[in-house]
Formats: sequence, structure tokens, C-alpha cells
Amino acid sequence: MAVTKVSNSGIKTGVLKYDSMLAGNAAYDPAATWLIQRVNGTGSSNTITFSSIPTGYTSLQLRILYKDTSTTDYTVMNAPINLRFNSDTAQNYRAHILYGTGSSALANDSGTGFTALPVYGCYMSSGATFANMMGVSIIDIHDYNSTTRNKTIRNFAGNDGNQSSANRAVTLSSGVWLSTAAVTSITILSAATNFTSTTSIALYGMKG
Amino acid sequence: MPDTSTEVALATTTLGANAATITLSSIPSTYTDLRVVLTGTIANGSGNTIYLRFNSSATNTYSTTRMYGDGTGAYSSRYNSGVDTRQYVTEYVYSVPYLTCINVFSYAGSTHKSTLIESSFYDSAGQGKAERTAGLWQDTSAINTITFSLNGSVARFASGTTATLYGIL
Repeated sequence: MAVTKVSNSGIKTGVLKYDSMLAGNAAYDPAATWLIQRVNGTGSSNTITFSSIPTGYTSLQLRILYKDTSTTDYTVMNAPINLRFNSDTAQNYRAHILYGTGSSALANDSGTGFTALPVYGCYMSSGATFANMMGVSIIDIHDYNSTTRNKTIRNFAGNDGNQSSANRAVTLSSGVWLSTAAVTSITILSAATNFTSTTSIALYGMKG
Repeated sequence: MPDTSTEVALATTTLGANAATITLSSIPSTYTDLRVVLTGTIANGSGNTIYLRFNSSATNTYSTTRMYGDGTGAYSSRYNSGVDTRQYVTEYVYSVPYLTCINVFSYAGSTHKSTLIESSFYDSAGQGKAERTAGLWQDTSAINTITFSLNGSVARFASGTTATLYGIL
């Protein structure tokens, strides 16, 4: 049937009118986390770099699944990976660390002199005892777009080498990059030798 | 910039009655990591620990390194895979609300033994605990089920307890 005329005469009074196109529909819930890029290790390089980081987020998060090609075992304070922001190699980095070894809870100050930010607690060696085991870390970089404040970093990391006292800790650490520049690139340096090909590091942008 | 979130709520379970276990099953393999948020209270007071098992595995394949502070000191201790047939998650106090957040990395592959890091908290204005753990499941199987349980034969997750599972691309 063709519609030849439209009239409102049959519409009941009291029909609700809305100014919003969302009325009657489920609320729009904007996504809060975006994957910017994931990079895997190669087995022959000690650096992974995220460059041209977009500015459209509130903070950044790195999720790290890490294994080093080195077969040397280390305790937590002796094998940090290192984060370098915007290729800054000046001594502008410092960290403070709280960690548990399975027998003691300890705290440390990284001290000064670092040309990249030491991030502790996710090292896992390629020794035979630790086959298929990985260290992990979640690193939050807050307020990375700011051009007026230094950058604060939070790290929550863990590795559990089972029965061995090496490659085993749970770690919570803070870090600072003493720069007011917006973060546009992050270079991650392995702790000992190279990132294995099983290493995977993902950079996320966070909103809200 | 992608227009969809890379962290997706996959399932939420809210208990309508007290229960001895909470199971998150049929976990899809399409994500990189998992995050589980467990919050609630414990009804019946004979136990003090929350555990989990992956894929219902009850073999001696779980180990944990933990660190915690309770207002009087900071401590660290271990649970070893030679003994434990389930993954330690956290301690609780009867009827005191707790919050636990667990990140499980690379859960869907068959290459890595699964590593998790977890943070838990409770506070009852007089006793409280902040805890972080690192855990290892010595199995390279993809994880498709997570089951939470308690120690003690009569301890129960209280009605209203909520477990939410997120997938992270």
C-alpha cells in the first residue's frame, strides 16, 4: 500500500519526546582501552621500540610477557629491564621498589645515574630449569601527554620460577622520568642479553 | 585509533545463594590475556584462603610467591608446586568484604606455562591486608575454565559475590 499522507491526528497525547537520539536505547559505553601496538621479540635484539605514540589517551599501559635469551639466573634487583622515553639518555630516571622473594619483603631505591628507567621483577632466564616460564609486568605511564609535569610510572611485575630462588619475586615499583616533555616514544631494553622470540610486549592507550 | 575496546567483559557471575565454588567456563581463546575481578564476602567461618584451579587440574602444578602488608609489617612467603594442587589466590577474613584482581598472561597458547599476577585487599577498620602475588601454573594447556574454591569444608562464597571475567586483546 502506498503512503500518500502522513498525519499526527491519531497519535495519542502524552507520547514522550526526547532531545537525545539515545533515548530508549542502551547507553553508549565508550571503550576505555585500546591496543596501540604489539611487538614480539626476535631472539637477536635487545631493544623493542614503540614510536609515534598517539596523543589521544589519558595514560599508557605496557603489558609485558618476557624472557631473556641469557641463561644466567638473577635475583630481582639484579635484572631490571629498562625503559627509555623519547630517546633521552641523560640521567633523568629513578625508581623505588617493594618486592617479595618468597621469604622476605624488601624495599630499595634504584639510586641515581640511570640513563633509562629500571623496571624490576619480570626477568626470566632461558635456563633449562625455566623452560616455557615467562616473567610478566603491567606498567602504567600516567599523564604521558603532559608538558608541565614529570612522568610517573607504576610497575606491577611477577615471575615465579617455582622451586628456584632465582627468577622468582612479586614486585611493585614506582618510577619517574624527570622530564616535562610529552612521551612520544618508548624504547625497552632487555635486562641481560636479548628478548626471546617468545617475548611479547603490547602498548595500550587508556581513557578515563 | 581503533574504535573498539581491547578489554571486553566476557562474563559476570553473581551468586544468588552461598556456594562452595565459582566456575568461569567456556573461556574463548580469542584474547591475549585474561583479567578476573572477584569481590564479595565469605559466609561460614572455618577457612581463610581462596584458591583457584585452571581447567579443573588437581595435580601438583601450582606455585605462588606472595607479598603483603597488614598494618604491622611487610611479609613474603611461598607455596610450592611440589605440594599444591591449586593456586593460592588470597587470604580472607570471615564476613569482611574483599577485592581480588587477577591478570593471567598468554592463557590461550600452548607455548607458555601460565603466569599470573594478582592483587587483593580487605579492610575492616581494625584489621586489613594489602597483598600482591605472582603465580605459575606448570602446564602449557590453553585455559578454558577457572574455578575458585575455599579451604575448610563449610566455608562458602556468600550470596552476592561477583566474579567478572575480562578478555584483553
